[in-house]
Amino acid sequence: MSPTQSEGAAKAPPQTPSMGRAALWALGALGLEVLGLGAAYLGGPLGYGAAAGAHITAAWASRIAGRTRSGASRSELDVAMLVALGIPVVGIALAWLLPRSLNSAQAVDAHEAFEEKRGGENSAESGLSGNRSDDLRGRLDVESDEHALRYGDTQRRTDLVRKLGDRGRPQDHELLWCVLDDQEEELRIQAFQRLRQARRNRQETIEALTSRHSEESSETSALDLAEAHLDLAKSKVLDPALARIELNAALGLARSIEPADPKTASRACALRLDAASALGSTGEAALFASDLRLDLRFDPLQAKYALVAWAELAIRHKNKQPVLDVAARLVAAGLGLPAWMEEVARARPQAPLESVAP
Amino acid sequence: MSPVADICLVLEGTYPFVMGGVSAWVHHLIQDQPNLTFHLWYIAANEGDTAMEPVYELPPNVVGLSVVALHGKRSEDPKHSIANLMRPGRSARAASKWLPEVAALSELLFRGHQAPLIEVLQNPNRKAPRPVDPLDVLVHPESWEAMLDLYRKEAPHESFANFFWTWINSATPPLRLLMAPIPEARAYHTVSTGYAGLLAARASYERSAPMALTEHGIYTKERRIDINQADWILERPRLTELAERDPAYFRGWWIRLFQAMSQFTYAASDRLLTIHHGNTVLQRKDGAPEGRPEVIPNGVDVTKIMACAAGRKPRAVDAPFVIGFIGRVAPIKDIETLLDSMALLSDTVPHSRLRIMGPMSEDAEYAERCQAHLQWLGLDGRAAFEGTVKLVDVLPEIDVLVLTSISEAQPLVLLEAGAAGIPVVATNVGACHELVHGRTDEDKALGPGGFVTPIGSPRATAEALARLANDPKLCQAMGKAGEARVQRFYTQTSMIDAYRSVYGELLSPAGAGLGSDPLPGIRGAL
Repeated sequence: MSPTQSEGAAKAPPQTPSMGRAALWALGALGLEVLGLGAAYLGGPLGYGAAAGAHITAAWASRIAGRTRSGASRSELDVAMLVALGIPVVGIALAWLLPRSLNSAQAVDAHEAFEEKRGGENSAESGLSGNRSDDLRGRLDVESDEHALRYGDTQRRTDLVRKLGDRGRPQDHELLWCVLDDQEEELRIQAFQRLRQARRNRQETIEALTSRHSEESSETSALDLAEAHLDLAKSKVLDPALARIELNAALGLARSIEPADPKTASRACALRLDAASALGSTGEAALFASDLRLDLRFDPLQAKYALVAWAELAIRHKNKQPVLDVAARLVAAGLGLPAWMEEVARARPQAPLESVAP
Repeated sequence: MSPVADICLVLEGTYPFVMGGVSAWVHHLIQDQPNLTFHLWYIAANEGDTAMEPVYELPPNVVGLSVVALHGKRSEDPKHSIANLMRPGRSARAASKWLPEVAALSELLFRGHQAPLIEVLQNPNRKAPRPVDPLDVLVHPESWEAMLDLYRKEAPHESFANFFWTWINSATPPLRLLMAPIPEARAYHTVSTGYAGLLAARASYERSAPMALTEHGIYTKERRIDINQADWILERPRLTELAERDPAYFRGWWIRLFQAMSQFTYAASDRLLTIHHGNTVLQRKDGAPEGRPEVIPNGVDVTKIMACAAGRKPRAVDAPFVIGFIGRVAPIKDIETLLDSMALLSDTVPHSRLRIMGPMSEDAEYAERCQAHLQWLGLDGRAAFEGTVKLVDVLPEIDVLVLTSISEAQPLVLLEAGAAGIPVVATNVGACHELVHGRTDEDKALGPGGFVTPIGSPRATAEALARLANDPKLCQAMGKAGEARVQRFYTQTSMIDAYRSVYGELLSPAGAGLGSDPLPGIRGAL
């Protein structure tokens, strides 16, 4: 190699940037990003992997495009490529951090947290009041059964009425009551017959247990009967005013016994709490504080249900403190907390609206 | 052998063996037209029921009573098992004569085609074959092949066993009706569609006699309700359920059967009548030709009822508020809601008394349950079941009449209460709304004769009763409005006059030719 050639080569002016080639590289990078987005949209490990691969390759192609166009220094181009690569990471980090900070800025109200977790489900209290149509409207967006009952054709609604009747949960019965407003008389009758059947089945159970209780007259038979009354009251097959008659029957039976056996005592406690809570009788519920403490001493596992029920009653009356007490007691006994209770325990403190002191 | 009657009334599960609103209507229809003779053609559920005794004293112008059963006695003899019946040779020759009927029935059931059955019934060259056991016909090799073909075409994805038994169970009653001897009459009048409608239509086509239909409750609607709730419909066990199978296939089959029979009746009827306007909408929905259904409302003997209620006096302030229920103690009347409403009235109207008056034999188990419910609610002393009573005796003694039925057509008892000037609280079913509030402007102008409440709502019933109990002026005004409404629109005289005219048309020489028209209801529609 001649020196001239060598020097000439060394001192040769920088290559003229080729705009055409750079544009091609940039276009390629853009295409890769689009493909990556498509792959990410498909989802799954393969999709996300392909998306990540496409993104890295596109960043590399952008670097080549930049170099081809401007002849910028290698370090400048590396920085640019890293920024391009890192943009999604920054986005993910922001997405991760922002709601958490907002969350802590707007601490969840304890009562709201409870309602959010439990949503009023299985609450006899909520079933004894409130507007069924409003309940229906409130659920339209999240459950298809309500939507089908409102907008489905006659056959669809007929099938659904049969399904709801077969399933027979309290929330199914609530929906069947809504069908009594349906424009089709046939459907109204079918829904009513389903409700009547559900009530009849429970009444037959009560009749059988009443006979048994009159023969045995034991604490267990009384509790079984009381639970059957409670079940009928909470099944949403009765008019609220009649449900109160059943609740009072359940409460009366539960009050009539003073069980010595811890398991039976705990059952009776839970039953009285349930019935008192459904009747909205806070005074009655307050009486259980001492019983519950006794139960814990007997058998923490058995008492857990009763304690949780008590805490639930308190938070329904917008009093957080008993929940915290119960949570502490359960934790101390080495027992787990229900999700809603954890949520309430984490929520910001608030002033009680109504005092239900244990 | 009975003489040829002017009118053969075709009746299913009603007069003269069962008491109720429709039965009372039939009884008056016969009794108030002594110039005409009637033959009663009654459809019983089972062969064993044919030995029943009428619960009504039959008027002298009833010249005959025939009973046909939908189901025969099931033999326990293994010789009569399906496998044995399907052996070739057994009664095959006699059974084969009924194969055209089977083929025509399957066309009606699966395709809704009426023409093949009409053709069979009207064939002048065909002599009615000797009746045989319908099962022999349905398991005849030719029927079997036809059924297999149907299965392959209609429901290859369904259980064959279910298909076979549903076919046997659904085709047997119509086939028995097609085999029953026809009473001689100049015209046929059915009081429902369904099996009675099919029987009347068959008689009309075979004898070229005119026919009328008066539909009280809409038969197809009632059967749809039953079938949609029924647990006897053959369905696959859930474990073998496949997504592509239709879970409602066999329910649909039964509903189709009753719809087909109703449409067959509508098409065959020279006069298609019902008792209130709401029914005409349902009839058209179920296939009655547009413009055909006519309304002849129920009516009551206003003079007689007013005379017996003349002794009614305004209630004294300290007198108990007497709530009356008059009707059968049957699930459709929803007595439980009535009792529940009484329990709710305890606080607001403690001096209220409920009298439940009507037969308790139709569903003894239900009646027993209602009595237990009364005790459970602690209504002893405030409510009582009194059994069957004489209307004329009790109407003067009640302050309000209540009806908590979940289904009704045009309840006579509301008209009777209206005629007696008694306000009513009734559920919003059938014609109750128009009986209480009026239908036309002229009718509505008379004012409400009581309150209408939703079904299954003890609270609404109790509230309406409390309003009447606590407001004697309102009670009186509503009673008067009801009285005026019945006097103006619902008299027995106008009802009987309307039927006299219908029968006159059917029995006239021109009417005698109506039955020979193959499809009077849907001329040119097929």
